[in-house]
Amino acid sequence: MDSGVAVPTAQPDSSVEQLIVLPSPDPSLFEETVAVINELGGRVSQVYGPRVLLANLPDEGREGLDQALEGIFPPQGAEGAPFPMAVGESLGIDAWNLRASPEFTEAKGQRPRVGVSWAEDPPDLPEEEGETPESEAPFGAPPPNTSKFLIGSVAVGLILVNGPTPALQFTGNERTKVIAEVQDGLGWLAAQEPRANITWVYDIRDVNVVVPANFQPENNSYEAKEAPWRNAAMAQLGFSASFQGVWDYVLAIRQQYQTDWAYVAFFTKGYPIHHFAYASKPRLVMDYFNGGWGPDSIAEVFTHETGHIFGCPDEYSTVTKLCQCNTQYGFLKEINGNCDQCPTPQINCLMGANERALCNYTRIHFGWRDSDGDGILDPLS
Amino acid sequence: MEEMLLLLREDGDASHVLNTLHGRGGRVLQRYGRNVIVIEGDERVKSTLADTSDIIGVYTSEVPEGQMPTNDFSGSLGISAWNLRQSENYARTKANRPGQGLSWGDPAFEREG
Repeated sequence: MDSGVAVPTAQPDSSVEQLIVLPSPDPSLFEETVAVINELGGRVSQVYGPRVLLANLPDEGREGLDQALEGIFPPQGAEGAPFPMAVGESLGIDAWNLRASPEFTEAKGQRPRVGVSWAEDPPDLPEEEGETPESEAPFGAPPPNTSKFLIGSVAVGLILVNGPTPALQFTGNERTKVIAEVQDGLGWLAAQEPRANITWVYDIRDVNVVVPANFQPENNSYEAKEAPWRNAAMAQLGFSASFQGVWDYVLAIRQQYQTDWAYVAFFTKGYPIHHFAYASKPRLVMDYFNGGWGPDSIAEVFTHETGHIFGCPDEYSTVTKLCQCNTQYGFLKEINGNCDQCPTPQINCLMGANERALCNYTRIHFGWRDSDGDGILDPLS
Repeated sequence: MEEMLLLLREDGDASHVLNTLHGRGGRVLQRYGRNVIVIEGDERVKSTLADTSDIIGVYTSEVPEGQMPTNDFSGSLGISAWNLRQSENYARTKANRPGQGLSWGDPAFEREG
């Protein structure tokens, strides 16, 4: 039979890596394809939009994929796809073809400092995170920092995680509400500093998992409560079922949309997460009901959590947690001078209260300082 | 400067549209797929973009139902979200949301993590 997948003529050496182009952006088709690949012992390695993916398949996998998907995928080439390819999808195919070119092979063989340990010149490391739960994120090598400061373009993964019962599933109106609140909050944030030239580029996924609401976490940690549904969601998207899979996804969307930065937000509805909202690089987690604040404050809470992603600390205290006035945060290492424990009066600010306002300290934590007045923000000077 | 939603044609030249936008002092705030873009600009930006053949429309209010893309998951959600934000109900609930102005540590509310 003819192939159900599109494989451009240019392919990298003898690898079993395959480029797969789906005939439509239907999310269920994408999920079905990922499931078949997994059943065949393969693994999706990269995703470029809803229709283009790279998968490592065993030798017999290609034939198995053809058989399994017969009747679902019409023979379709990247050139003849029924809809114009989105930018990210085209980039994925272009990158695939580039990797097959002699120029690419030659350049890889002659790249500078090949074989030198990362320890001699380490890649970017995460900034200090304040009281966020990053220490619970189990992964090995230090990941790159995908949110150093808030200047430039940012890929935002929005993953809506639906469970097996109606109480755990987003209705159409709730899904629209989430996207509208995020659009509202991040639009407001982008408008606060025109010199930062912020553009948010979304990768929105609606994922169904079979994890029940009453699963028993191993302990009371963030990770224990998050991992069951999060890992299932990452597997559905074709990434490893682990926190490493979250990093891989964030790096993939950063590459796909060619943005400066990237992070991902998981929205759940009714799963027993550690707090109704929390964040540490590269992900934030929010429950639809948003604690007592309610869905109508998703925009403000989401923007607050995005502040954490980019290095901003809390400016409020509770009986169990005090913010620290003299601790430095963010790329520019500014103190938390609007913390409610500081001797000076606190002013309204997103990181302190349910307000659409920014204090100068938070602005600097985002990286928005122009010390010499040349119109170029300090992180870019 | 005003927030607007820009809807590109499937075969529209996105580079041309964005260059036009930037040339008139506008900027891109948010993108949902290839064709749905939330921008910031003034009346001059709006009128210039409205004259290009690469776009379906540039909107400062609700996008008509018939203009929703049918094969673009992110784009459709971006427009639905935009339309919800234009509604009176959204504005009303936003203006009266619980805990507005209170500290995130207010004891009457659960604290974020």
